[in-house]
Amino acid sequence: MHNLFNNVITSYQYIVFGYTTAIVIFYFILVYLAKKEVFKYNNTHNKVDDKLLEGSPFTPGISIIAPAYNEEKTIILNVNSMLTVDYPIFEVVIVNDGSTDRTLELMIEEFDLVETPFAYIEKIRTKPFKRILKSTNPKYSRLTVVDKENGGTKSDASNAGINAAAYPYFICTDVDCILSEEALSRMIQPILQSSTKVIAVGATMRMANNCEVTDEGRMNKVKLPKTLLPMFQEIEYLRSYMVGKMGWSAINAMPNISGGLGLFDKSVVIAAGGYDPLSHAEDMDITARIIAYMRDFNKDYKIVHIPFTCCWTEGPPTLKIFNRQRTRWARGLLQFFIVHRKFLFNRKYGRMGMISFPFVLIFEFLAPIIEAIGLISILLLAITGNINWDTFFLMLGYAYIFGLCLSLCAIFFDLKTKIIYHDYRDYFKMALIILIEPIVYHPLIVFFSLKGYINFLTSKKFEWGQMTRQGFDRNTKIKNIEIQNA
Amino acid sequence: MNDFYYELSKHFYNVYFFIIAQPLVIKIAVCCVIIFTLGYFVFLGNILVTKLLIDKRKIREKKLFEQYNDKLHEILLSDKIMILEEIENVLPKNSRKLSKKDNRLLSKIIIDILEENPQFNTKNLEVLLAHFNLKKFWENELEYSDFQKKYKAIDRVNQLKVSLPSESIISRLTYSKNKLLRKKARAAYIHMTSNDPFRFFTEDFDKEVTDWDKITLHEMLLKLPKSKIPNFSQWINTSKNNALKAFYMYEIYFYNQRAACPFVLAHFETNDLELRKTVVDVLGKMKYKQAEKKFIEEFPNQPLVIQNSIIKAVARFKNPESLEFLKQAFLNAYNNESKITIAKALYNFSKEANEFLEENKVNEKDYFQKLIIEHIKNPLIVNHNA
Repeated sequence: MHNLFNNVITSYQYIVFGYTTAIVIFYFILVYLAKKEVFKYNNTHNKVDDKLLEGSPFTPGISIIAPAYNEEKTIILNVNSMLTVDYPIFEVVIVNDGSTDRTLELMIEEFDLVETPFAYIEKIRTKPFKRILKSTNPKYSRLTVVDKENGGTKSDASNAGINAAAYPYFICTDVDCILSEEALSRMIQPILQSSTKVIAVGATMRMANNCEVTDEGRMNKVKLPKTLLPMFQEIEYLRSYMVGKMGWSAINAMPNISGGLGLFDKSVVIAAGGYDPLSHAEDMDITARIIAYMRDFNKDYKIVHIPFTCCWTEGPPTLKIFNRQRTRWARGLLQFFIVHRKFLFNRKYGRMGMISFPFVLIFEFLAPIIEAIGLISILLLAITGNINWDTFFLMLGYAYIFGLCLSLCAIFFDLKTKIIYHDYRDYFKMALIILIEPIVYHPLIVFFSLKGYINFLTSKKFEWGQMTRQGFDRNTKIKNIEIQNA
Repeated sequence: MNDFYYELSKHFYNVYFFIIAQPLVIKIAVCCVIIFTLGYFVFLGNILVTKLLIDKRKIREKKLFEQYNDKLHEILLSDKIMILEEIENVLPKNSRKLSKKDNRLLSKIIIDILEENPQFNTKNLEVLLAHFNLKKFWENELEYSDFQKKYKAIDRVNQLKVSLPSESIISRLTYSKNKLLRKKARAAYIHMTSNDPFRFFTEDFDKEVTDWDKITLHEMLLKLPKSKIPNFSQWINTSKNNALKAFYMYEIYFYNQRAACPFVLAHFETNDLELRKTVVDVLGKMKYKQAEKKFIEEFPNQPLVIQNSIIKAVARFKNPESLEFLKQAFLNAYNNESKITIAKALYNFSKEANEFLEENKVNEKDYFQKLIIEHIKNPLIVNHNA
């Protein structure tokens, strides 16, 4: 019995080692691919290109769609931010998803909104919409507000926004996100520059915590968050975007476009049925569905990610809100693999089916489970006095140093794209913070992920939950100050 | 010292032989730890070096700005045409001997002045570029530097309005293996050369023509005086690339080359729906009424996207005899988005068309159909069926 126990534990340790080494190899490949893409992008994109879109008759229109549910604290600032994007042809569609606070009233007051006749065509089914509001002030002629019954998820509200959108492309973002001025012009370029149809474009997102925002909703100074949780999340996002997504983009195998910022071809999204209102991972879900649609009809496509930072979002500042966010993501991930299990290892779905989704399943979904079992086995070995501490620390160091290297690589790629922080020392701060991230932050991710999986499997009734907004730091003396170029 | 090296190498070999005696798993882990630790310090070093380079560049930029900005403003915005000696007297001594990095930064300062002040003195700019030898500098960048610098040099040459002494400099880039550089050079070729600037239109520009290529080509054409704009119809029939044909058609509309309209109409029978749509859109915008009869005849046989374009074109022609066609199209439309398009066309068509819409609204029992008419009349909606 004792031998069997030891054999099981030893085998499991070899599995964990093999698993870790497989992650290292895959990420090594992703880093190589990401490096090529990041440097290629940086070498061929500049402000001259952004200016070409102004006044060009070939520039397509883009709708910015942002669902809003109980966002009274930041709604005005965020809508203003979206309205000041620097792009010649765009509109902003805010979907008031049955807010119970003063979100709609504040918008009506601020933007001179009135209920207006609008032939709303329900191309994608949603919860009933009540009315459309437009502004009587020409300054806000680009703004459309869709007022509808609460659909329970962001997906339903996004679909209503798509129904009301006028332009052939749309950016789906969260209403708490601050878009950069160049967001639209940067994100549309991969679509215009490709001879293959680009059906979606992603870009880098960062934390808005501690950043300075002007009264007009423009990002004035980008700073690293002051508190640990959003700081860790910033680093995690950079790893995900700069290494993960850039690498996947290089081989046209993007597993998902972030729900906080994604530019989509509207006709393809509608043809694919829009966002799934029951999904808690609507970003991954819609990406899978539009790929499936294109593959089912044998149409060539690309999904691209650009390394440029186009958006800032408020990161969860407290553990309670972070818990809510991560358990929801974990539930969504498990739900996704159950609903879309037909894609996995299915050659019909190309690289999505054979590479990126299996990768996400094995190395992202299973990772918390494998880590938790590994931790239990280590504890058992330690209690029974069978642990080889030298080997243990070596393996821990192996995983730890790899994580550090990967994080620093992501920071390096970000630096090469644009010096984004107002104070360069923030880069050194990040280089220090990544030393404690695996010890402090990573266990939280594992814990909340497992909690999310258990919640889903025990079928508790879920609501989207509310992000408690802190609001952004605003220096009220600042008006229209240009971003300091480093 | 020898003892130290002996002890160090002894220690190294002890560690080495210890490690190679271990199981494979341990060897892999140790190698990876060493590689990743080195990688960590390499990346950290890079971040530090980047900071130092940025600081150095900022100092250099600030110094150049303080030295030259005011004087460059004085020269470029002066009404007086200055000769070389006068410019040399205004500028600091040794201003001709700048490094490559300084030349790039100085060019940026000049470009910023040109962009802020479109009415700059073009003669003084030429003399200024000659003084700093920037023309030669950017020619060398185009010829001898790496891909990234060449790519940026094309923009700089355009922005500085440098006229190249010989097209061979840009010609070489137009056959580059790098697709992005090749296309950029071919677009810039239009503006940079006077001998056969539209050579690449005859060669179908490139293997693929994207929307971005259309944007850059249009931008280059805008830089030319109207007298140098070619007749685009010469390429409509010869080009094998439908995207390029669509581009030429658009330019025919933009430059109002009415004599080319029959050649555009001849492409209505194409199998390429995008091209067909462009034919209809262009002739509609140009109000080429000779196409109206064909459009109306073909309307029932066309897919929805072409039908919508035909509606918009007929609305532009404003031929009272076409009102009945528009009315029938409205009544028979089965697609709500098309109905909105047709309603808008009627709304902007004539008084009689408006009366038809109102009458339809009163008689219509379906609320949504009534709403369509309210929608297109709504002045707050500025992008109907954009």
